Amino acid sequence: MIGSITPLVRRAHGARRWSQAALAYALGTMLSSTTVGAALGWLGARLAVDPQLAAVAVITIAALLLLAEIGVLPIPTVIWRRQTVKSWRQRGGPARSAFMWGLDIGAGLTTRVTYRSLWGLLALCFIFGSPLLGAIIMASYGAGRIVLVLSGPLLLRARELDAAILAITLPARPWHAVHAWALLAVALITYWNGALIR
Amino acid sequence: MPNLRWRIDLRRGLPAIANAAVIEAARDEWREAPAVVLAVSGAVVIATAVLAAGLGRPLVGIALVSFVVGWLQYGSG
Repeated sequence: MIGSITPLVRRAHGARRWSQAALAYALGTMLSSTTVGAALGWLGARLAVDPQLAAVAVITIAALLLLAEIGVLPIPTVIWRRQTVKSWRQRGGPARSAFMWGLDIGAGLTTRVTYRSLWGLLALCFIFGSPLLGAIIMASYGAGRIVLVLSGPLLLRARELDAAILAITLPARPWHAVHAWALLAVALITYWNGALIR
Repeated sequence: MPNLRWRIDLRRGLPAIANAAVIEAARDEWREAPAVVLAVSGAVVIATAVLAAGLGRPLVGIALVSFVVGWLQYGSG
């Protein structure tokens, strides 16, 4: 999405329209990510898993995902091939399409996600069974996705955006490493504070 | 019989290959840099998150980790 909003909107319509599109994207992202987190927490609450068992389950899932992320354990994880629809821009203009992109991407479950750490967060939302915790976790995730898109003009200033995006996305190792660290952090925090975060 | 353009390209062939190799090497070196800087920044935020959780603020910790997971999703979406 960083490769869509900035080049398509900023170059074509200028900084003001880009700001409107970025705001619309932020609103869409926060709306869907918070809703998904709260819904998962609500669904998990129906299971009413024992807190100790929930902590063990989250730590186990995070550990397995971590091993998969660093390539030690070849376990299959669901990775959607679908990407968000660029042609929405033609239908509704920059702000409306950015809002739709935000809704789509913020949900986390409907578009391609390259790293397994998101599944660790979703497991945390579901297994601990708290709509509030789920909303906080996924709202924070959504805030991160917004910052990623907001960094577009900064990258554009540095050099051609396509080249900058390519430079950032091509090396796989740093990204897998940082997402593995994120999964380790999820496991550690759950281990120390499993009961507290519920 | 090669045409004029082909002959010119042929003469420039070797320097062009050498130039391409230099450009490619420079690009490779540059390619890693922004990703590593961003990844290290993410790792610092994660370390802060673990520290916050260790100091009795688990929600802050989980929120920071979730933020990094969203922020560093280059190539997703």
